[in-house]
Amino acid sequence: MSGRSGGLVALGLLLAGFALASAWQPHDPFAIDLASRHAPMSLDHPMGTDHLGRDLLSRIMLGAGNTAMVILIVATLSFGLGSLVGVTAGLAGGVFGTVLIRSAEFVIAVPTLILALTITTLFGLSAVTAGLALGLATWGPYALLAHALTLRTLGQPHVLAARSLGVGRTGVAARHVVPATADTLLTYLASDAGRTVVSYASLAFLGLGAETSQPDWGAMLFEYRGYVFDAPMLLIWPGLAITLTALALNLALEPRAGSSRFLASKEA
Amino acid sequence: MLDGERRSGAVGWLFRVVILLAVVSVAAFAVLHAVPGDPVIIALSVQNLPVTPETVAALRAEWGLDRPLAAQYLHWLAGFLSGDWGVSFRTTRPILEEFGRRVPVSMALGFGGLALALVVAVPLGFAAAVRPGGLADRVARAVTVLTQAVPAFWLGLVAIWLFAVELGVLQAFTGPLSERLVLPILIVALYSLGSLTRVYRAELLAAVETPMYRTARAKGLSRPAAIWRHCHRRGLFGLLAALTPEFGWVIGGTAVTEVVFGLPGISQFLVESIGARDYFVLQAYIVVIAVWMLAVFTAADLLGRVLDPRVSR
Amino acid sequence: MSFIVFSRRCLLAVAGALALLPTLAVAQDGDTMPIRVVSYFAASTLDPHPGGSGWFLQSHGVAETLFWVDDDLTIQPKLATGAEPDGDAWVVSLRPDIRFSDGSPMDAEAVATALSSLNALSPRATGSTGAITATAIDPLRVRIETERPVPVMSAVLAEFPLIMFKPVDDTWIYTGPYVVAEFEPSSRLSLEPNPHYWGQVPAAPVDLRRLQDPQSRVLAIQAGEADFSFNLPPSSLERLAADGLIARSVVTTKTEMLFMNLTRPPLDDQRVRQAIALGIDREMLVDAVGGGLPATSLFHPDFDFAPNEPLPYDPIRAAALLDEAGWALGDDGLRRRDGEVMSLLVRHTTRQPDAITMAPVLQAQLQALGVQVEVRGYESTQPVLDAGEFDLIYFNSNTVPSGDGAFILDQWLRADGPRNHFGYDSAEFEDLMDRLGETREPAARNALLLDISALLEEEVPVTPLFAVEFHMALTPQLADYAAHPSDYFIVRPDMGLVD
Repeated sequence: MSGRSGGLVALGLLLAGFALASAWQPHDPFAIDLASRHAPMSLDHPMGTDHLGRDLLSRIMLGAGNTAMVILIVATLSFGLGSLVGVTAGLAGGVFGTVLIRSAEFVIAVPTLILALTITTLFGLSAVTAGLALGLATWGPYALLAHALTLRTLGQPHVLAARSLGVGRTGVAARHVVPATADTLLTYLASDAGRTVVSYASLAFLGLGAETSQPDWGAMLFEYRGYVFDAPMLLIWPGLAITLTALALNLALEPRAGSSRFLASKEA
Repeated sequence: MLDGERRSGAVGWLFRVVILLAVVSVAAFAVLHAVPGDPVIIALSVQNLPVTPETVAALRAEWGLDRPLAAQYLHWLAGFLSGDWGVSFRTTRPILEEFGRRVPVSMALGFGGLALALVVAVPLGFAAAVRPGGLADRVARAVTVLTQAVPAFWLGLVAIWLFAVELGVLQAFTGPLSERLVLPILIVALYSLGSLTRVYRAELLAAVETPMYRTARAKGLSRPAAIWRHCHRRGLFGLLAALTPEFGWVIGGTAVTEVVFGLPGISQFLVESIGARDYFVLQAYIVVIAVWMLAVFTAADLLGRVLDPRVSR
Repeated sequence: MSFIVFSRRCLLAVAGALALLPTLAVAQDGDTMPIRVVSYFAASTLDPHPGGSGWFLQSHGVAETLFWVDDDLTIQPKLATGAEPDGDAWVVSLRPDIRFSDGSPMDAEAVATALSSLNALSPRATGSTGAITATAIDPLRVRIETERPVPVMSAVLAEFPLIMFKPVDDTWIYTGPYVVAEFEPSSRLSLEPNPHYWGQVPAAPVDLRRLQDPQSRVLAIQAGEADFSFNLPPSSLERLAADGLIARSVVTTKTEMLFMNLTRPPLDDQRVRQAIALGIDREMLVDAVGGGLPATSLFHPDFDFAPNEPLPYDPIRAAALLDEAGWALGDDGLRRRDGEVMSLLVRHTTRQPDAITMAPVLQAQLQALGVQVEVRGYESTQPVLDAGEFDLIYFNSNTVPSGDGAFILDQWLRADGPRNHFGYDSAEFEDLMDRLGETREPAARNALLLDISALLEEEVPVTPLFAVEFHMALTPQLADYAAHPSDYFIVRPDMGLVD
C-alpha cells in the first residue's frame, strides 16, 4: 500500500486543519448582527456574513469538526461493518454466510428514510444521529460488494492453489482476500465520503431536520437553503468546503495509477 | 436430475422469500409503532381541529388503532394479502391507489436516471481507464466531486432557474409529465454517474494487470482493444455489483428531486407520510420495497452467473 | 394587513406585460385562459368528511360555510343570514338564493342533511360542540342542537369542517364560486367557474398546482408558469418585484408562540417567566425572520378582542425580576441560584424555515439575560410535548380558526385542556374561561377575552411572539387580488382580469 502514503499524509494534514479550525475562529460564529447581514466579502469577513449577520468563515471553521465527525461515523459504520460482514460471509460460506448476506440485503431493503426517521426520532437530531442513521443505512452495499469481491478472489487460480497447498482460511483472508477487496472498497468509500455530508443535508431538507445550533456543513446547506438565489454564496462556501474535503479524500484513498494491484502482484 | 435440482432451488428460493417478507413486515410494524408520535394527534393538530377525548377515540377507532398491536398486525396482513392495503390517514385515499398512481412516476424518474447514467458511465469509464489521468478521467472525477458537494435540491433549483427561467426552453412545472421529467432525470443520472463510472474504471484498471491482458498486448493488440476484449466483461461484473444496491432507491429514494420539481411520485409521498406517522402507508412501502429488492438481487444473481461462471454457491 | 408593492421601479416591465394581456388572456378557441395558482397544498379528496377537507376545499374556492371570518376579521354570515338562540339551541336562517353547482337549491333540508352527515361520519367536524342535531323548520330555517352548549353559534358554523355539500352519485357538490373539473389528488385541481354561484360568477377558470418547496414556488412564477404564487420566502420578494411581478404580504391569524414548562425550575417561578417574556425583543425577531407583526396577545391585533399595545421589551425590568427571584448575575455573565447556573432548554421544529432562523436570535436574547441556553430542533412537536422535554418550546398555529378566541385557550391552556402540556393550572384563568363559556353577548365576551390576555401576560404560561406574515407574488393582471389574512381563502371569486 505504499502508493497511498502520500495520500495518508494529506489525510493527516486535513484532519489537523479541521481540528485547528474548530478550535479557533476569527469571529464569534454565533454573534448576531442584523445590521450587517448578507455583508459582501471583505477583509473582516472573508466569506461575508449570513442572513443573521454572522461571520460565515467562522461558522465554516467551527463546522469542520462536526462535519469530520459525520463523515467518520458514516465511514466507520458503512465501510467497517460492511466489509467485515461481506468478507466473513464470503469466507465462511454455507448457511452462516448466507444468513449474513441476507441480512445485508435486508438492510438495503429497509429504506434509508425510514431508518433515519427511526433513529432521529428516538435519539434526537444531531450530526451524530444523522451519521448513525446514514451509516446504518449504507453498510449493506459495502457488504455485498465485499462479498462479491471475496468470492471472486477465492475463485482465482493462485488462491485455489494456495488453499490446496494447505494455507488456512485466515491465511487466505489476510494474504489474498483483504488486500484484494480493500482497494475497490476504498474507492467506493472515497466517492461516498462527501456524499455523506450532502445526503445528510438532503435528509434535513426533507424534514428530518439538522441541528443548526451547532453548525456543520450539512446543517449549513440546510439552514441556508432558502437563499439559493438571494444570497448564493451562503450555499456555495459550505459546498466548496465539502468539495475540497471530498477531493482530498479522493486523492488520499484513491489508488494511484499503476499502483493498483487488485489481484495481480503474486503472479508477476 | 437437473430439473429436480432446479425445482428444489425454486422451492428454497420461495421459502426464503416468505421468511424474509414475514421478518420484514413484523419488524417494520414493531419499529413504526415504537417511533414516538401519535398519528391521531398529529392529524388533528395539523388541521387545527379540536383535540378532545371524543375526537381522539373516534379517529383511533376509525383507523383501527384501538385494537391490540398483534390484532392490528394480523388485520393488516390479511388485508394486505387480499389487496386491501388500507386507507392513508393523511390523504384518506386507498393506499393501493396512491401507490398505483405514484410508483410509476418515481420509477420513470429512477430508471430513466439510472439508464442515462449507465449509458454515459460505460464509455466515460472506459475512456478513463484507457488513459488514466486523461480528459475523460478528469471529467469523471469532476462529476463525482460535484455531486458529492452539491445537494440535489440546490442543483435542481439551479437547473430550473437556468432552463425554465433564463433560457425558457421547457416548462418545468406545467408542461406534460414527459417534459417535466427531463430535468429531474438529468439530475438523478448525474448523481449516479460519478460512482458508476469510477467503479467501472477501477475494475478495468484492475483487470489490466491480469496475464490475459498482458498476453493480448504482447500479441500486438492496442490498449483500448485489449481492454475492451479482455477486461470489459469484468468491468461489467463490477458495475453490476455496484448497480444492484442502486436499484434500492428507484422506488422511494428520489424524494428531494420530486419535492423540488413538484412531481407526484411515491418518494415525496413517503416523506409526508413519515411526518404524519401514516403507519399503513409506510408499512406497505417497506414490504413493497423488500419484494422489489428481492427481485433485483435474484436477477443480479442470475446475471452474475452468466457474466462470471466461476461464481457459484 | 400590509400591502407592499415593490414594482414601481419596473413600470416598463409591467407596462410590457399589460400590453401582452389581450393576447395572453384568450386562447385560440375563445376560452378564457385559466389563472394559474401555485400553492403549498392541494386537496387530497373531494369528500367533505375528512378533517382537513373543509379547509382545502374552502381555500380552493369550491366549498363554503354558513358563516365566515371576513378579511377584516369579523364573523359574518355567508350562506346564512343570521343565527338566533332558542333556549340552548340555535335557529339559523339561510339566504334564499343559494344553489349547489348542479343548480339545485340549498334549502334548510339540504343544510340539515349536510350537518347530520358530518356529525355521523366526521367526529373531527364536531369537536367543539359534541354531537349536532340539525332539523329543518321551514325551507329557510334550521334548528341546531348541540351536545355541549355553544355561546357563539356563528363561530361554530364558521369552522371550516362545516362546509355545505350535497352528495351526488359517488361524489359531492358544493356552493362555492368554482367547481372541480379535473382532479389529481394532492397535486392539481382544474377549477371552472360555477354558473350557479350566488355571488358574481368568476371571470376565468383556475388551474391550481401544489409545489411543496418555497423556492420552486418562486421559480414557477418567475418562469411564467404561474400567475399567483402563495407562501414565498420573504428574501425573494425584492427579486420578484424587479421581474415586474407584484409582491405582497399579509399578516395572518397564525401566531408564533413561546410556551413555557411550569412543571420544573426555573420556569415554575412566575417572576422568571415574566422576565423571559420581558427579555424578548419581538421587533428583532420579526426583523430576523423578514416579516410579521410583534404580538400584542395570542390573537391577531385586528380582532376586537385583541389588545392594541405590543408586548413590552424591557431587559432592565427582566433583570430586576431575575434578581428578585434569587438568580444573581455572576462575573461570567451567567445567573446562579444556590450555586446552580440558570439554564433553559429551548425546542423548535425544523420543518419551518422561520423557526430555524429565529432560534439563534432567541438564544442570543436569552443569553443576554444571563441564561445558559441550549437549543434543540425536533422533527415532530407532539412527542416533545408528551415527554415534557423542554423548558421553552415555540411553534405557530392559527389561534382563531373560526373567529372565536376561546378555541386556543380551551385547547392549550385550560387545566384539563387536551393540549395543556405545560402544567398551567390557574384558578383565576379557569374562572374567566367558565364565564366566557356562559357569555353570549359579543361586547361582554370581548371584555372577558381582554381580561384573559392581561392575565396571561401576568402569569405567562405562554408568551406570544409575533403574528406570522405570508408572502405572495402575482402577475400584474391580478393586481386587484385581496388576500385574506390566513390560508383559508386563497382562490377567490373576484380573482380575474383587471378591467
